Amino acid sequence: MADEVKLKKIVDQIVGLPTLPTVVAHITSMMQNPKTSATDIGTIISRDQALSAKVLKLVNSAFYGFPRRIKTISHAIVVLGFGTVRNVVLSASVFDAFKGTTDGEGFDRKGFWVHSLACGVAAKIISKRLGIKNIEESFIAGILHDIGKIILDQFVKEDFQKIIQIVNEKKCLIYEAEKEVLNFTHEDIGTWLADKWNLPIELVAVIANHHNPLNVKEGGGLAMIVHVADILVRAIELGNGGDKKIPLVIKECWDQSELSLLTLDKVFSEIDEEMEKASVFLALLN
Amino acid sequence: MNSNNEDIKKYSSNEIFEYLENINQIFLIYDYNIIIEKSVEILHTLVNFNNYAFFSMHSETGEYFIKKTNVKNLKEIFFIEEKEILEWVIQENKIIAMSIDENIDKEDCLCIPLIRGPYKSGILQLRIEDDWHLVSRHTIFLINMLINNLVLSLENKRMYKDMEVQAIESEKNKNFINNILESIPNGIITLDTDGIVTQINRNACVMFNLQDSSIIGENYRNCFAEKFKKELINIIYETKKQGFIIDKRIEIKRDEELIPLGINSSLFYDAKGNLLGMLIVMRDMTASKELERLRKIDQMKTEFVSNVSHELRTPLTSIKAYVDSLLNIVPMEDFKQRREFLNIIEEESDVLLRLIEDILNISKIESDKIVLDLKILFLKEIVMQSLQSIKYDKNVHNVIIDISSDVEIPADQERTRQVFTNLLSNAVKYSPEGGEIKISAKEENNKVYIKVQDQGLGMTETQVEKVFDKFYRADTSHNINGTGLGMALVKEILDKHEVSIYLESEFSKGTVVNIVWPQV
Repeated sequence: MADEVKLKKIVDQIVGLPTLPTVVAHITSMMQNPKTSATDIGTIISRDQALSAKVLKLVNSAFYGFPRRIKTISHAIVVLGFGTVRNVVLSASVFDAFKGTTDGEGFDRKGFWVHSLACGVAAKIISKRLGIKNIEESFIAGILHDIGKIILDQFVKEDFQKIIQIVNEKKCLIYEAEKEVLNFTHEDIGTWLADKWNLPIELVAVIANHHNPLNVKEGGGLAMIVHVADILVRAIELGNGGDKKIPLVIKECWDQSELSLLTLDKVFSEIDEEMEKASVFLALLN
Repeated sequence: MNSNNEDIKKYSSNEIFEYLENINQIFLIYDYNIIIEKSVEILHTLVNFNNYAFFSMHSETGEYFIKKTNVKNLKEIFFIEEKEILEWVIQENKIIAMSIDENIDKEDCLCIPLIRGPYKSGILQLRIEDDWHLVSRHTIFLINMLINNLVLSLENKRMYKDMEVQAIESEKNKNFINNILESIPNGIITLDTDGIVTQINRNACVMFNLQDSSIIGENYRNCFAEKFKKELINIIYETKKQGFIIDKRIEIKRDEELIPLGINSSLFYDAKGNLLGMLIVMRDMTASKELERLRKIDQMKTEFVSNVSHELRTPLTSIKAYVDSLLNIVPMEDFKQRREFLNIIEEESDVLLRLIEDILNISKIESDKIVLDLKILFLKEIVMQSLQSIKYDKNVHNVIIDISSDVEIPADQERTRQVFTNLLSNAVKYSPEGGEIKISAKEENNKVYIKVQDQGLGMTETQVEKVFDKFYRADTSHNINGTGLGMALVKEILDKHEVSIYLESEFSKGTVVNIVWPQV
């Protein structure tokens, strides 16, 4: 259980928290309305020209693989679907929010984003194999699952460096070191941020419980997938989550993912392949 | 344009209810074409379009081909040749709108993938009139519902078709296996673990005099005659105990005839190793038995040839030696010696003659050439004649004839004399010194019961069984000469007369030959 008092004290210190463009919240609320059309959402996004350009760049990338050129946001929605475009907007905004932040001492920011992106890619691949329709949501959930770590690195730098030091000395999980130093974890601070950003409830659940998805009372499937994806990309050392140790995979989550040790090689090479295509996201950080 | 645009279609709950009812009807359709037609009809209530085309993917080549459409010239208004677009639609598995002509900014072709799990039914393309950008998520949701039902119906149809194919295949397989079962020259019965007959082939039906295989489904205890049922209980017990039986011999009765069967059995299991039942294979051994008999005869003939050669050579060697002596050694004047030698030569010649006669007779009777010349004869006379023709020492053997002179039998004189000659000569041959040989007869119910008793070596039960076999000699260890044809000849001749003969014998005590001779 998180130490609420300590958490409150820390978040009170946070000044200048990166905000998501209002368009993200706007789209999320528009998506609740079934009458929304592609043109409606296209119009909203197009108002933010910088964002529109990034979204178009992403949707035209090899990652989405549409064989023709997508010229407008509404065309993107028609071709890729509402959900995909919303998630593209969300990920573009998140990457944008933390853009240009220099590497913190002891914490490898670049490695962190590669890990997050890889986790998104792996979650997407697992979901696709499971036949889940909304694979884009798994992708964004994977990207955002460790967002709390960035907040810690950016806003409680001293404590976070201490955490990284403990991780390096004790060869423990970052999660365990966070508990030792802060009495709460990146899951807790990530959840706080997700609330503040008004992220959809499914994503909040993943950020809050990706280390123990069994805590999610309803609809824990996404958290389970991200939990497994997180461990898979750690196993093949894609990026850096801040610690070198690989946490134990929870049996129920593994079973749920329907992966087999025999075919895992195939999944790994799929992750590698997709990561190459997803590098366009990392370019947003520069 | 905004989200409150009046152009956007709104649905009342009644409309939605009606719509749901409509799309559920697709499930009730079994015809492939009508499923598509009905779906297109429902789509018209959601989307404004004139033309449609349903593309199916060839399961082997992966090429798309048109399955159903309402237009003639497809190429101009639908995606057919841009395979990568079609593949993308299938891969992404979502409805997308695109412009046929990339240079025109109007998404005029709606591509709907029809996919469920690994099964790709194809792509439905609609040539739409409205601007797809303005279509609400609500409408897209409703289309998706329809498409889900359409895909499920197509899949049901496909599975139904697969099942039909499988049913035909399995029927074919079944026929093939049945043909094999029926063609195997053995009887086959399978039982399940409860003893229910699960299979019986025609040969098995014939073996048990069953009209058809209608006993399938019944417990074996209720299906077979008592004799076989008892055997079957044993077979099942043994098979369960050791897992199989190899070449167990049993006999069953069919049409008052005993049929020898060779039984093989084994247990059989399913792929997971669960016991399913028992297979029993029955081979009619009659033919094998006949083969065995012929093989035995062949072996006997070989023995006979060596016997006969020996038998023929002994008197011949003796004759030659005495003739030699007469020609070269015995002086012409020594008449006494010469006479003695000539007598021996005559005796040995007689032996030779009898041997050759025996051989000729047996082959004559065997080939059915013999014709009986039946007359009413006095039994005693025939026996007396027979006794005279065999040479025996009255000081060594005591022969008693206890037959009243008036006993008559219908018989062929020559052949009957042969019978008694053989019987008496056997009795003498096998009797020890001082042994008594008694021939008696009594009349009763128009039958003459004749007994030839000796106090000879006697025979074991097995020897008695074989005594009438041609070339069989019960005892070859006592230096007693013979061809092994005597008793066979007796039996053949008596069979021709329809007279029965049987032996009672006790080893080392003696033998009684019983003959029952009908007088009519």
